[in-house]
Amino acid sequence: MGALTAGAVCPMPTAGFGNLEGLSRVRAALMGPSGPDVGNMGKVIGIDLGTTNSCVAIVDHDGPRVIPSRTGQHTMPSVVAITESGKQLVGHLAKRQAITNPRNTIYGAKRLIGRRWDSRDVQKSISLVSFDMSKGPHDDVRLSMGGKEYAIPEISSLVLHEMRVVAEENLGESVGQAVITVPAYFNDNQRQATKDAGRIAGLDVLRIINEPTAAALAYGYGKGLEQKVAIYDLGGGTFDISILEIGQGVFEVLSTGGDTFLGGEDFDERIIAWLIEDFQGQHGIDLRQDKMAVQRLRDAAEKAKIELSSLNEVDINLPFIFSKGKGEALHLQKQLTRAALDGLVGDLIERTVAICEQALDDAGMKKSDIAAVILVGGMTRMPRVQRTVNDFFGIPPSKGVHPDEVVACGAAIQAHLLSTGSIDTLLLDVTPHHLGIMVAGGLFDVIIHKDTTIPTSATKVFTTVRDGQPQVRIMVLQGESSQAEENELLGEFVLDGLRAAPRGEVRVEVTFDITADGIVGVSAKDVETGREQTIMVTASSGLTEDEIREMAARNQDFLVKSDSAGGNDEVRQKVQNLLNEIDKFLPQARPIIDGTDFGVDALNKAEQTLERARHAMLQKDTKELSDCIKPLERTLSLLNNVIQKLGG
Amino acid sequence: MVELGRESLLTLAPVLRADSDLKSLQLNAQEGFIISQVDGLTPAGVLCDLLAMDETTLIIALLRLEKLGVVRWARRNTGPKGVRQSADDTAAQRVIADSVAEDPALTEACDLSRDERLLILKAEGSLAGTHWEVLGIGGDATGAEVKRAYFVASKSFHPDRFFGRDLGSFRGRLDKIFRGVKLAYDTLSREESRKSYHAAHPPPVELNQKSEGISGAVQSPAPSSTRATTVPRGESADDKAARLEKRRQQILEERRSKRLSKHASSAGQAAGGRKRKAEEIYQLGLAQLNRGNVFAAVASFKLAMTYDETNERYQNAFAEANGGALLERARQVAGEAEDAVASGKSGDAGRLFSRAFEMVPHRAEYAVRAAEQLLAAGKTSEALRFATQAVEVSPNRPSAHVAKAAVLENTGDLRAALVALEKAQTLDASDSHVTKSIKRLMKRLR
Repeated sequence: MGALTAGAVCPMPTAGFGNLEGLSRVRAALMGPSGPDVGNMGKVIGIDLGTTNSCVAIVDHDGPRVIPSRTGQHTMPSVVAITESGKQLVGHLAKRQAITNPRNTIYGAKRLIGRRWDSRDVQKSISLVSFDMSKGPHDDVRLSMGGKEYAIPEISSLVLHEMRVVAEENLGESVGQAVITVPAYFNDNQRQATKDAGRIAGLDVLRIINEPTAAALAYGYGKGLEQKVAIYDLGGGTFDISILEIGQGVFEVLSTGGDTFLGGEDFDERIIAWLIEDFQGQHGIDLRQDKMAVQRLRDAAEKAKIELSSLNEVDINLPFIFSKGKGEALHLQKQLTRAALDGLVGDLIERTVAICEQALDDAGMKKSDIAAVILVGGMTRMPRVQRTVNDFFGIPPSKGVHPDEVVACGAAIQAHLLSTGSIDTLLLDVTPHHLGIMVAGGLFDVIIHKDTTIPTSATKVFTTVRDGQPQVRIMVLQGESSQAEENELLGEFVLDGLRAAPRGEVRVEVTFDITADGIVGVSAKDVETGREQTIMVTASSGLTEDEIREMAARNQDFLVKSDSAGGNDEVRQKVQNLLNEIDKFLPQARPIIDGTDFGVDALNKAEQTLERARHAMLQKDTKELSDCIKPLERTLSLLNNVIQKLGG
Repeated sequence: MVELGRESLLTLAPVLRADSDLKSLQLNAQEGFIISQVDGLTPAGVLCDLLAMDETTLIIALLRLEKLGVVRWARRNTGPKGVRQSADDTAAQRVIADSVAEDPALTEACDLSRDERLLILKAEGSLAGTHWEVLGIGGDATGAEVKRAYFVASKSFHPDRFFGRDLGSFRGRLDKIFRGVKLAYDTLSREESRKSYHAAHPPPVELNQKSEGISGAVQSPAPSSTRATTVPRGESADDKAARLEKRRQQILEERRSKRLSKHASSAGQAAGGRKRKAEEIYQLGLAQLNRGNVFAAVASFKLAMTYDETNERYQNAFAEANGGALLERARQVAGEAEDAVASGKSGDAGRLFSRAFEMVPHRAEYAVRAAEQLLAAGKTSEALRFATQAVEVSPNRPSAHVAKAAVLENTGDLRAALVALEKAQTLDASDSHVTKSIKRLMKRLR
């Protein structure tokens, strides 16, 4: 009985964890988790719900592919906003108006999802974001937008819903099921919150999988590889590293590591801080006080960072960044070189190296064992990042996967595998964190170690710490700290009716069990009497079941509205405006060019374009309408040029 | 695969396909053994008893054979045309069909086909074996092979494979199987734990080949598998009737003893139950051995060992019977080889003889025959290897030296050939053939 090393389960009050009793949805084992309803629910998609951008993909007969939006984009900003007129915007439209509407534009919700209000990370965010945050009823985070409070999963659900609409429009079929990716380092609460966001968006979430794992799947799917790979994922908000072994169509995760607060936005922050500091030095004014200025800085910083991946220096120009009143204004003008940026963020990149080393160590592997390094996330376009990865692993990063799209493709592959019961490919995932219980002294006793392949189970025997102790409280925790308090509490229950005996005499066997779906079951058994208590631990997203249902219903109402109005309207309006303009210019342009050979061709073409657009307007064909915009714009500029240069 | 609906494969008779080329297929010993009993009449459920195999093992093997195009399935009462089904045989089948034990899980309401259930139940059963058996690997498996076996087994039994289906009791079984596979892999993939496990649980040595493993149904055939195929041929109607009658008797007898053991084991569920069961199976094995069914006996002794790992009697009986089985199989292979010789295929014959020799490496005569045939087929270097081994195994066998000499002469090493011939002559001076050859060689040397 080697496992009898146990510390002691201690009958402690739940001090330090706040009022979580009602929140942690602890269900009786008999009820069990409701299995996925794999009915005839339309197409199955994969969604990469990113911090800054999101992407949706599907597997069809040609294999995995990204589904473009109606305007042709492959990714969409994970931004949600409510305009002054009360209109809800998601994606590009929301991002475009962020500068003028910073308080009602929400970005980076992923950084807050599934976190408690008083967590360090949330508290740190409060001063950095341009929107208002407040404490929710379950110690969760709420955001205010358009004068209304939103839970984080609700915000994410708007992005997920948009992805679903993009897919449905493109496929011409309803979409009911999805696999959604999260950073490998997400804990169960964050995963659950993401799953809940999917449910609010009306999606049956088949599985939550890790982004690096998805990337590996997309990289190796159907290639018959036999090798060990490292996935280096530096995205907008998080850094993840995973080591996988691929063989016989099996993708086995060997280890994972990461940092949930290390990503592109931290790079942006560095640039912003540098700009603000410089501005303060010059003018003695702290731009942080002005939310609109911060938003402009954020945009400029991100833009400069992206441009520096291909240029050696960029100019940052922000005129009228600060108004002194009386029509007087201050401008910000600054040059940033690639070398200067490297200096600003060098330590952030170095941090990733230490995490890579740890992950290799966890996998019991040397750098030389790695046959391929796959880069994921927009930040890996940065030359300094690529160089660092190359230097560390000693091999150039693998080309041929698209860093922005590979995760969504992997999610789509897993969705496809699960929904078709594939026998050729299997993903063997792991638990991302230690799981265990709190023992005497407020310590965390690990029962299932991180990076254990699931499904799995493990048992450990504990004893009482007090004479005559009648009951033990089992507090189920997840995390890496040896201090129970610093880890996430997933649930708790009490095993009572223990025999009155001197301390250390009563033995309690605690068993953890994780299914392939990642559902954790915990049971405690009095070894002597066989008395047993079992719970299914469902991580808490910060929302109750009722709230989720209510939000999903509300979302449904909103969907009906947005389908009839929404984006469709915007496109129609734009096409109509273009048509009006062209109608105005065409009679002026016609006599000027009608006599020439080229002129006749051009006019014919213009007429055709107009005809096509008018037809699309009548048919209310959204895709056709958005396809018309470019030709119409070209026609308009042609007519414009004719009138300006040849007219008069 | 043939569409079988929900009907149990056990009630169907496998039929050998006339067009299948058994010789070109890499069948393993077990498969060869099964084929030897497939006559197009006997349902799979009856074959289980004949072969002393459990249902799932047999079904899995038959499904693989079906995939390879070796067998197809015939309905029980619509056997292949032109083959008369004896009344005795159907009676035997009826008796057996009535008593084919049904695991209640096979009829449980859930979203799995019967074959899937059989596979899962079989895999669950195999967890009782050693880690070697669970992964289907031998003691010499390399790290990569262990990993491969683990991946293949995971792919077959990971619960995700059946995602979204109502699995009933099978969900728990799959979880258990995957954990067992993972445990076996974890133990055998690490140097230290593998060493200590190896010491406590020696890997299977049977046939020098890998045990079938949990994922036998999906694993590709081992490249080094042995082959033993004997199909009843040229049998008269009377012979056939006699054979069927004999088989019926056998089946009934084995059924009886099985039933007995079942009663006994249910009586003693607690401690000692396993031991008692082991002893019954052992006795069954002895009975099978007496009847000359050495293969069934091997299976029984092996099963007895899984119930009582420490009993030396079982281990000895197994070792002995296994040796006998090997010899028997080697004989079958050699018989095939002689057929090949008769039809002038010396290459095939050489390969078969060498296989027979590898099964029973103390039998120099197979090595001699292998050398002769390989030489005839022009494979000189291989021929020399077997001739040399023949001499090593039986230095007093003149034919070994003669074979070696023939090969050496062919390679042009006349002196060495002469030495070998002279050795043969000292062992057996009466062979005029040898004397003639010596003279011929001396002439050439001069």
